[in-house]
Amino acid sequence: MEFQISMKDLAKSHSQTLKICNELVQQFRIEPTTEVRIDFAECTFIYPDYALLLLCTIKYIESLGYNVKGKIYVSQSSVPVNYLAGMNFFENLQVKLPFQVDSANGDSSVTIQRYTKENQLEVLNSILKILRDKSSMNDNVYTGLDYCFNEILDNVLNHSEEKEGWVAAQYFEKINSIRLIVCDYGIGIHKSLNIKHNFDEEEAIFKCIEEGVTNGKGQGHGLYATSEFIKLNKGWLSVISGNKILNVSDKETVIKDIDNWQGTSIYIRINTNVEVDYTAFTSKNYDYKEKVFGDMFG
Amino acid sequence: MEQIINTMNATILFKDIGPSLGTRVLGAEIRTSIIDKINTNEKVYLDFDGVDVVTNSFADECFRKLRETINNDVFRSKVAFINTNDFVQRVIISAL
Repeated sequence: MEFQISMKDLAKSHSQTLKICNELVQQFRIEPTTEVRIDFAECTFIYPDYALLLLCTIKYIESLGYNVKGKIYVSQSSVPVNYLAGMNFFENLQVKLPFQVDSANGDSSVTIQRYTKENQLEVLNSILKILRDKSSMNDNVYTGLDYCFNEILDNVLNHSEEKEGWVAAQYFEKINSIRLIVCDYGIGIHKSLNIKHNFDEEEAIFKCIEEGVTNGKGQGHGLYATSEFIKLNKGWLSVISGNKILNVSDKETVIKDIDNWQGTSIYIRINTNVEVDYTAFTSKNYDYKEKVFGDMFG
Repeated sequence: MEQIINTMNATILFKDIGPSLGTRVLGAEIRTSIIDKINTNEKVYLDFDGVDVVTNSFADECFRKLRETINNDVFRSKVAFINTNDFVQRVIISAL
């Protein structure tokens, strides 16, 4: 049996991508010998986060023991194909394209990367360096991004119960914007928080950005700080896990139902030119503690 | 970890690890190194020259747990943070 993926349809939105990814997983559960047909026809543009969600889904299916095979229909002149080739999308799928591609993505994209605790810092620093070098980012925005990105990467390895995560990013110069996504196919936020709590799925995803809410393995600060940074930056945060998506902006925080995502995905969009006061999310009890420990700093 | 420790001066140069310090695993490793230094030196200097960012997770794993392990008085008398930028100082103090 064949499962067809139209990249044109997949590239419409996160919810559309998640719908297709979920259908793909369900298809393999029903029919393990499914052949996948990925078709780039009429696909004129794709964000890296959509592609990474698909890639991570295929890695998840493989982790379940299924052999994912099939065909990818591409055109050498396709802009998204060239773009994704430059992002190492096909390489990570272990697919070799039958032609050379123009993989120069303007040096402002970060290739799709798998990371583990062994290379986490290396991956982080290489990504930050690209984003810093290629964008005219305000210093405090860079500091906030560095801080939050670090916490997000570490969250995956500390809470997903998987040993790897996946990451991709892109800087869009004309609109002073960075899109960044970190994905895993681990246990998800609901199960992770319920090691210590007794939340339903909606409560869990809502509480995960509250300060101090943790499963006991951390301090519950990473996603709280990220959400505060995003609000101050007038950016966007989506926390995707299970059947819920939590969207955070400076205007509202809302939860919506989605097709199931097997682990957790954290997507952020930040404005490189909107100043952020980092003391708003880094200074818990600072004034009191500064009086106690301030003399240790010189 | 040996590469980043100058045993003569009991100083840990964090810039040799990188400009961004974020993982709990790394925080735990460095905490162990600091404890070793505290046991054999009068004072241990933690030098953050060249470090732009430390995260709350790193600071919690490394410094808060260090303070709790060796007790507050020993921590205050034997550990000194130097060359921290404002951001790094805020995160470390808040974690302590």
